[in-house]
Amino acid sequence: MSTPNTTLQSAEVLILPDGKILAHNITPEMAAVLCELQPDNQGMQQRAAQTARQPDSNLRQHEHPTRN
Amino acid sequence: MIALPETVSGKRIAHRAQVASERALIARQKLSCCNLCAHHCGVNRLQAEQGPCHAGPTSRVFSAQIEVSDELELIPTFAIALSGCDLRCSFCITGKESWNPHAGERFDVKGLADQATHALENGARTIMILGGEPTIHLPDALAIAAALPDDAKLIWKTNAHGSAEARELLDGIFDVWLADYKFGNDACAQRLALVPHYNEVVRENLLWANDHSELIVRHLLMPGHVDCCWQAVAQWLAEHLPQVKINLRSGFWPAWQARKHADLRGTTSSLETERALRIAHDYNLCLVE
Ligand code: SF4
Repeated sequence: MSTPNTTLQSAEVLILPDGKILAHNITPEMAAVLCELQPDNQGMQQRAAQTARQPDSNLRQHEHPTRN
Repeated sequence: MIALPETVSGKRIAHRAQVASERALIARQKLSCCNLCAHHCGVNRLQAEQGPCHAGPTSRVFSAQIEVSDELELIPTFAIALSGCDLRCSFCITGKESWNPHAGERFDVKGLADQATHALENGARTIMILGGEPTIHLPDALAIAAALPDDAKLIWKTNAHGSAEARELLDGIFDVWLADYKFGNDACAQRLALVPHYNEVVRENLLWANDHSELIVRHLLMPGHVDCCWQAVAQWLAEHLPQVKINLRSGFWPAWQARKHADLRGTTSSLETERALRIAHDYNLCLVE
């Protein structure tokens, strides 16, 4: 079983000048944070409501934020 | 034509794990003259020859985690991202890993299957295999399908640039094909992703996927490409796959090497997004989030 790789653990969020927030590869944890930032964003509220527990850290590979 | 152990078009195959395991072996043999994607380069990947994807005989994984950013009907999904791709989209949001099949960690079937099964037991609805592009790693993609419970809902997230040979091996294994249709004309595809004959190949894959599984089509709206790309994609989908679910994504940002192209240095404006939605409405497309 591989241990978590520290080199790629990150999450990428882009905040535009108009306050719009773009994010990719959103984990449930990240969705909860984005909901705090955008309480009126219904779409994000729906995603944050989809809860699931990540595999334990010793089961996880590394994380990377984004994809189209 | 290869002799497949079992093929049931249009629905999940019975004894999926067993069939996937047998097909994984067939797929591995095919690496000796690789025609898994539509580049059809025929190189011997078992002897370290490389095609445009630069992939070798084994795959690597750059991400494996639960995510909630995909289509609402699919999330939470446990997403397993394999390194490397056969396209060269300059705006790829995971360009560093998607252009490099040597990125990430060794592909560990059992470890990944354990993680995925754990995720399913803890609220994940689906398992998604993606890249990069998973088609170029068909042997390992089938191996992971073989290691998952037969009743797990499996998603094949693809650039829709696979070959007929790859599709034959995939038939009945994945419940949903989540396929990109990125460029509405071949000139944009060639310039921004270095891929020839893009539309012909993608259309062939989409029509097949719609016949053989559930299909969701994704289009990432690019700044300045509403007319040349989205309008053309929307029109074709309306004519050929009028019932298909389409996710029109507006969250483009100039990632990776996008800034090499003057048209891709910004984000999609709200006016462009509104216009794209109007086009979808005019064509009566079935949009999903
Ligand atoms: S996957 Fe495609 S690009 Fe890569 S070696 Fe095979 S045919 Fe060539």
